[in-house]
Formats: sequence, structure tokens, C-alpha cells
Amino acid sequence: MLRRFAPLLLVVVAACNDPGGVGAGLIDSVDGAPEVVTLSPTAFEPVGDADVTGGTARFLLGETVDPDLGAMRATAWVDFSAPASLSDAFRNGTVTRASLVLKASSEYGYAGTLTRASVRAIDAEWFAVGSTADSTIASGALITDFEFSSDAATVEIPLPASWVSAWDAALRATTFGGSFHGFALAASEARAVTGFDMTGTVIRAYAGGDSAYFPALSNFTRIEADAPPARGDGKLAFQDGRSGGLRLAFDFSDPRLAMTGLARAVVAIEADTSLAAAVPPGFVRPIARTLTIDAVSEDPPARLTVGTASMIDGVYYLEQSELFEVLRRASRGDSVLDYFIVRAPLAENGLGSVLLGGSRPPVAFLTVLKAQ
Amino acid sequence: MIRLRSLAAIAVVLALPCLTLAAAAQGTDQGSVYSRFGLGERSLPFSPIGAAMGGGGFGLGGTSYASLANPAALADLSLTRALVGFRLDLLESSDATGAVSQQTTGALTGFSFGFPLYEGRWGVAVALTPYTRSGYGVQLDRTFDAGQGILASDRYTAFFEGNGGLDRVSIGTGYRVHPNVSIGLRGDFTFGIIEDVQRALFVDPHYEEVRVATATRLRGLGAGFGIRAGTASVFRDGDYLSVGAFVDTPTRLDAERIVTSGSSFEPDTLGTSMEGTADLPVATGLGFAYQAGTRFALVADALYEPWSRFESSLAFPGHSSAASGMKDRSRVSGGVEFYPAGRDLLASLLKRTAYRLGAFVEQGYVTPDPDQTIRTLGLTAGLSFPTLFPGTRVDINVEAGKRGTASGLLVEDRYLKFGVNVNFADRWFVRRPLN
Repeated sequence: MLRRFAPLLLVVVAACNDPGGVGAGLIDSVDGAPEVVTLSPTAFEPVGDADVTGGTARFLLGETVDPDLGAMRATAWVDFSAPASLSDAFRNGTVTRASLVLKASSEYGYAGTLTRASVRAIDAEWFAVGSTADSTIASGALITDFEFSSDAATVEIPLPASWVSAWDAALRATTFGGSFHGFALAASEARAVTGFDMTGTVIRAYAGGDSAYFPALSNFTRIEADAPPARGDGKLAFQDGRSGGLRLAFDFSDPRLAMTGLARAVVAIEADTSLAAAVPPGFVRPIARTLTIDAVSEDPPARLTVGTASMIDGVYYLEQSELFEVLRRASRGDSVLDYFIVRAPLAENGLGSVLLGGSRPPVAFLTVLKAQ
Repeated sequence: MIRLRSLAAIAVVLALPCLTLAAAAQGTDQGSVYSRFGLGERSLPFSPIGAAMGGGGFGLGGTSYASLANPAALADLSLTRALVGFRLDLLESSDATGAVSQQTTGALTGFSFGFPLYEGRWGVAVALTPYTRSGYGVQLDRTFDAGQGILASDRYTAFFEGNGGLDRVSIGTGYRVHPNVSIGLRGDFTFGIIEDVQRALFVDPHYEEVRVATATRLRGLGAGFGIRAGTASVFRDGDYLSVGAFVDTPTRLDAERIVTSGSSFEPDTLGTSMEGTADLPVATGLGFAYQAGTRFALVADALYEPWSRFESSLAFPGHSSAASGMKDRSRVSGGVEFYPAGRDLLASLLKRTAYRLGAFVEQGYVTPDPDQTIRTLGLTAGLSFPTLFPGTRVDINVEAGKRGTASGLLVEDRYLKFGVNVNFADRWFVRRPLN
């Protein structure tokens, strides 16, 4: 007996703990096996709130009548800041001419059609961040009218001499940002809505033989649009800017989630992109390539962006760590989460559209480990 | 010198329960996978002399050790005694697939403190001893079946770990009601936490490591009764035959179970706690001790606990409302002690050392396979060394055993347990005669 155990003593002291798979037969094969709990939504519906269109990376101008989604009219407010530095020649000269340069980046409606619009002054300071599409900002006197083709890459609007002479001193001073409050751009006649990037949109001014670029600082787009009509196939037509998003809720009291730990959480939203294809001749309707999901609590009121995903093979897979944490807390019943809002990313403001839901609603895939 | 020694002993006495509790609370040691089942691996009563003689000794007197296994033995206390034990367990497990694992664990095994109220007639003791121990670790490489959804199946490693156990704080007294008969009474507070942990570690980095722990806190009051009777000159002059028996009453433990997820440092409670009860069965023991003079002693013991009657409103591995692997626990042991010096206090160290041998067979109280019984066979041995302080001894024990069988789904454990026990003795609370 002792001879049998003597080697064991040496082996064990050298090896310390090596649990290995001994005893595997005593563990039930279903014990400790993760499983995927699939949750279907208890709610997936449009929210009544307007989209957030202030402080985005793009502002919109124009109007169109979408044969499937209804009419839309977009009006923009854009403010500018002084350049980081001005040359001595510019600062000591006189502004001889100036123009508003708009960098176009998206188009919705009848492509290549003419848009007539106006530029008006904004007389008071305003704040863009967080403003929703149903807000409005007072605008002042007419500065100039202009027109452009909705598929133009760049639109340059000469500013009248009266405006140039009125703002000559301010344009050459360091106090420009404090005294100038931007332009309001409104379409008077259009068949398309054009999106303009903040990057590349400037006031260009010439003085003392030099030029200076006053970059766009902030923007807001007011959107007046019809709600998309209900569809016979049960799908929800979602368009960035037209609505504040879609309310998505799951039942986390599902008994399959009781006493479980979460290993992975994916919310998959299947997309029907046929909206982009089924359009009248000459009509352009961009696809919503990216969606964002916000976790919303009503009491206490809170909203937190927890994930963003681009469409891959017709599906948006939302799987960020923030979403995991929210779902982990929700699945263990320790959460103030009431529902999610599925929306377009704030920076987009590109009027992308997609059909969601219907017979292929969003699904939450929760990989869990259940306590024995 | 004596004063310093007494102060040191007091310090040790005060510190040891804290150390014992701290060691019990660590709960990180791993041992036999069988400790996953039921309430954990059942521990023996804390008795160094019994452990070296097969694990019994219920019929032995309490002159040398303050053991509460049979409280009647406390009547023999003539000195104040503080006993603390440490152990190192080496375990090698194998199964029918040929897989082998090794584990090493160590812990304090118990503490007791006893003193005579009336020398040789009435003694009292308190003890902190383990009742069960759960400590195991199994890891399996598996394939995760993600079903028909968007997620792909993946390899992962499943970990099953357990730790904790039940401890028992006891206070007991033994009283000699007749020159040959002693009786004893013991009160027990059984408490502890048994934790079973599951973890899954995936190959795919999209998955977080997930950990779910089920912790069951149990506590309850119980009692034990003991009797010991003996007679001298049975077979020859100077011998002594004694018989001891004890009964531990059934104990109802209040149970509270919580399930947590997340790391062990920041666990999140899942759901609400579950409350229930677990009823420990009666425990009975019977032991014979024969002392052939002062040099030679034999013991034979039997222990029986009807765990088949165990009831619990909460499920434990191996026991649920649907099926139970609980079986009656029985244990038979025997041992021999040789003490060459006898009463010669001036003999050499080796002659004043007690040499002990024993053997036992035990049928476990719980089995993972209700059709099979988990049987343990073991040999024990021990040396009890004298020290410079009269009555104080250091006991070194070893136990080699085999538990279960490497057939079917079961596991064979081969183990070595080393124990070091320090048995302090001093004369406290007793009026010294004036010179």
C-alpha cells in the first residue's frame, strides 16, 4: 500500500493542483452548458418623437414628395466660426467679396432637379445640439436667393456687396464668432432634398489680396414631413429625419433567463432594402446603412446610446459592450431599462430609409449560462 | 516561566478560533469531486488519537485529549487542554477514461479547548470542527451548440468548482455519575456556506467569460449525548475495558440560497434568495477500547448515520425532490496503540512516544450514482510525541486511502492525509495545594 502511494506523494507535491477532466462523468452533460435564449420583441413600433437634427454632421435643404413615404420639406440653419488665424494682409485689408460654399453629400428625391432657395440672416444666438426636427429658429432679413441642381457636388452662393460691406469689419476681426449668428437656408421651390456636409461648408472671403475660410460650426435642420403610411405587409418604413426612431422592447422576465449569467448579447435587426429599389424613374431614396440603438428608462428618465451597427448582408448586428452591459442587467432583473429606441445615427442626418419588422422582427440572442 | 507559558497558551487559545474560521472561509482548496455531492465530504470528529487509530476512539477516555466526539469522555479531564490540528491532503483521482488529476490542499482541521471543573469527574470543552468540506474542480472542453440562430457553434471550456462546507461550534460537558460510568451532553451550532461555481470560457472572443455561483448558507442548532462505561481487570490484572456510545440528534438547518453572476470579487445577485431547510439525520456511534495495562490499547468503533432519511427543500447535487443519491453512512474502524514507556516518565523520547495504527472501511452518505455506493478503505498511523511540557504532546498522523472506483462514471480517489496536531496541556482553574 505504501509503495503504491509513495510515487503519488512526489507527483502531487510537484504538480500542485491540476483539476483536469477527471470526474467529467459525474457532471451531467447539460450542466454548465451555455444556451442561446432567443427573445422576440414585445413591441416594435414608431415613436412619436421627432428626430434629433441639431448638431449633426450634415444639414438638409429642399423638399420633395416621396410616392411611398409622403412629403418632406427641410430648412437649415448654419452658423460659422472664424478661422484659426488670419493673415496680416487679410486683417488690414478690406473684404471685397464673399460667398457661401456648400459641400453637397446626399440627395433624396428627384435627382438632378433644380432647387431654388434663399439665404436669410439669423439675428440672435442659437444652440443646435439636441434640437429636434420639429423645432424652429427665427430668421431675419433676406440676404440673397440662389438655385442649384440637387446633384451638384458643391454649391457656391455669392453674398451681396451690401452684406459684405456690412460684415467687413467683423470678418477681419477676432470677434466674428460672437457677432455673427449664421444663415438660414430655406427652399422656395424644389423636388429633392439635398444634404450638405459640415466639413467643406464655409464662408469664403477675400481681403487684402488674400482669402480666408470661415468653417461651418453648428447646424440645425427643421423637417416637416408626413408620417409614412401603414403598409399591408406589416413592415415599418423607417427614414432618418422623418421619425425619431422605432421603439423596441423585449420581455426580460422570460423564465429562460432566470438565474443565468450572460456570455454574449446580440440584437439582430433584419432589413428590407427594397425601398431603395422600388422607386419611380429618377427618384433617389438612400438606404439607411447604419442604425443606432438607445436604451431608454422612463423612471428615472434616461437615455443612453448603447450600440451602432452597419448593415451586413441585410442585417444590422448590434453587439457593443454597452449593449451587453444593459442586457446583462436587464436579464438578471436589475435594470431600469424600459425599452430601446432604434434610430439612425445622429451624425448621419442623411434621410436613409429601410423597411424593418413585419414577418422578420428584430431578435435578441442572449447566450446564457444557467445556474444548476 | 510557567506564567509566560500560560500567557502564550491563552494567546493561542484566543487566536486559534479566528484562524480556524479564516481558513474555513477561504474555501479555495480543491479535493475530491465526490465533495460536490450532498453537503460535501463528511468530516470525522476532531480527535488526533482517534484519527491515528482508524478514525474512531469513541470508547477512549478523555484524559489526554479534549475531544467532543463523545462528550462523556470530558469527565476524565484532569488538565486544561487546547488542541489544534493542521492537515495536508494529497489526492490523485482517476476515472475509467484513464484521465488522472492531482490535488494538494491544506487547512486547519479543528480546534478544541477543555478544562476540568472537578478534576477527573467533571469537564467542559468547546470546539470548532469541520462537519463537511466541499472542494473540487473539474474542467471540460466542450462544444457549444448555438442552435439555429445567427450565432455559430463554438468551443468552450466548462469549469465546475466547489468550495466551503459546514463547520460546527460545540460546547459540551462530561460528568462521572459513577466511578465506572460517565455521561456527556453537547450542544452544537452547525453553520457554513457551500458554494458551487460554474464557469464557461469560450474560444471566440465575442463571448465574455461567464460565471454563475450558487451559494447556500446553512445554520442550525443540535445536540449530542454520550455515555461511557468501563471496568478494570476484565481479562487480567491492570487491564481496562470501556465502551462508549453517542447519539447526535437530528438537526434542522435553516438554508438560504443565493445565485450570483460575475466575478467572485463583484458578484451580482440573480433573482431573490431562496429559503428552505435541510434536516441532518441522527448520528450514532459505538466504540470499545481495551487497555492492556499502560502500554497497549485496542479500539474498535462503528458509526452509523441514516442519510437516506435526509430531507431538504433545496436541491443539492446528488439530492433533489426527483431523485436522491443519499445513502446511510456507516463506518467501521479499529486501531491499536503501543506506548513503550508505560508510566515511566523518565524513559527515552522514543519510548515515551505513542505508536498508533488503524484501519477503516466507510460507506459514503451520498453517491452520484444511486446504483453504486462510494466506499472508502483506509489505513491510518500516527506518532504522539511528548514535549518538554508535561501533558503537552505533538501528534503526527497519516492516512492513506482509496475512495470510489474508476469504473463507469465514477472516480477513484487515492489520497494521503498528513496531520499535525498540537495538544497543549496546563493546570488552570485548579487550586494548587499549598506546600
